[in-house]
Amino acid sequence: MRKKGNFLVNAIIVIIVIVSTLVIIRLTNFRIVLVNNSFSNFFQSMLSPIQDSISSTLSKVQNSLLAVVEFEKVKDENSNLKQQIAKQQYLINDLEEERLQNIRLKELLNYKNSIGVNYTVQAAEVIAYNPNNWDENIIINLGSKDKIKVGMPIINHLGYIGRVSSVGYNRAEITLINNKDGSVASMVRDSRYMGILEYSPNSSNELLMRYIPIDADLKKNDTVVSSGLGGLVPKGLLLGEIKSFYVEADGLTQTAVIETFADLRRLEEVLIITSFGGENTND
Amino acid sequence: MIRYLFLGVYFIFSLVLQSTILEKWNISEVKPDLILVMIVLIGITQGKKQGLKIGFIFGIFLDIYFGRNFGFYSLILSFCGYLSGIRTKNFNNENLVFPVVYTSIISFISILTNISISFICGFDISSKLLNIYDIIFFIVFNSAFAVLLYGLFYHSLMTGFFAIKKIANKQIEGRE
Repeated sequence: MRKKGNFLVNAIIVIIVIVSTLVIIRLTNFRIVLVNNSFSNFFQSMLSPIQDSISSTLSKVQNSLLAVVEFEKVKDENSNLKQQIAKQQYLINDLEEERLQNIRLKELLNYKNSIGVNYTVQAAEVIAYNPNNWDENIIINLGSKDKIKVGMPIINHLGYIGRVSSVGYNRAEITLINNKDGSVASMVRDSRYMGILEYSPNSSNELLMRYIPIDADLKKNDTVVSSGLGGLVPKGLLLGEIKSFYVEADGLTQTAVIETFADLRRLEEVLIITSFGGENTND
Repeated sequence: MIRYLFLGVYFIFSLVLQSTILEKWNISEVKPDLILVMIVLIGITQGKKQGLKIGFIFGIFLDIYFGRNFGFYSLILSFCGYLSGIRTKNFNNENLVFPVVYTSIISFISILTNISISFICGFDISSKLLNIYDIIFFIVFNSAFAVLLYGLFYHSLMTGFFAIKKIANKQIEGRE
């Protein structure tokens, strides 16, 4: 009888506990009874560094394992990405080339504008250099179809660089100023002393200005331009500047060592002067 | 006292494990409940009172951790701990079948309790609690971990740092 009574009391207590717990659950859900969340926050913030470090370690381990498990996939992906990078690199190079070309063409255009309206020019691309070591020639992509003729002067933004020596249908050969056949009548711009600019055996960007009068007052860094004599090359085109000078062995003339403004080893775009000073060089 | 310290360590370890490793390496977005499994094992080995007590303590801490619906977990885990302490006549501590069966049954009961309390309190019931596959995964996971934990902590539960002194002494006396 006592056992039955105890059971009843226990059952009532359990029911009361359960019901009151349910009420508390309900109330704390709606925040009717304000539960102090500082315990929860403290508890969670205590565990969060551990959780954080485990999660980050886990991610690293997972990634490493994934790399091992999906090695083939990663390998393929890597290969594809490499190909994509190569393509992108190619495009970047292409764009860089375009950009540099754009700069050079702008410089050419500026030079063309600076030398006067009497010049009629045509832009051309250098498509080849002379394969042998002995002749300083270049090949451009314009030819007789573009009305290019032998003897036309060639310039770039840094001045005169040579003249057309032979013409094909769609190509033309340019004899550069540093070629042994590329001599040009020249003069010192400030003092107006004249001479003939010829190739120098020492360097491809070095020329010799010969036959300067013995009494000429030459100075280092004086600019040398084309004199226009002979009518093949327009007057006043930049050629180079004096690096040094000496009196010839015969004692009658002086020779100046000239460094060209244009780097004749690295030409990519040039301008062909098709007519100048009212003259058509075609003729 | 040292028993509660170890239980506290286990509780924190389970909480961290469930929120990190098991969260990431789950199957079908279901992960085992290591706290429930330990409560069941304590109930099995140490009786319904101990199951109820440890279930209540773990539940209270879970409620504090989550910070809302205060009493929700303590009610579920107390109930589960108590139920797992009710032994059958043929119960044999050293047989692995019992912990597995008990854990499966108690896991299912914990889901039912969860649904019931949510229903009574007017909460939205998680769709996962109503998904049969999720329930099966949950039960299977818990049973698998029960085997693992029972194997690991059997001696600790009976005579070691998870055991009550009385049981430990009884066991030792019985063996002698």
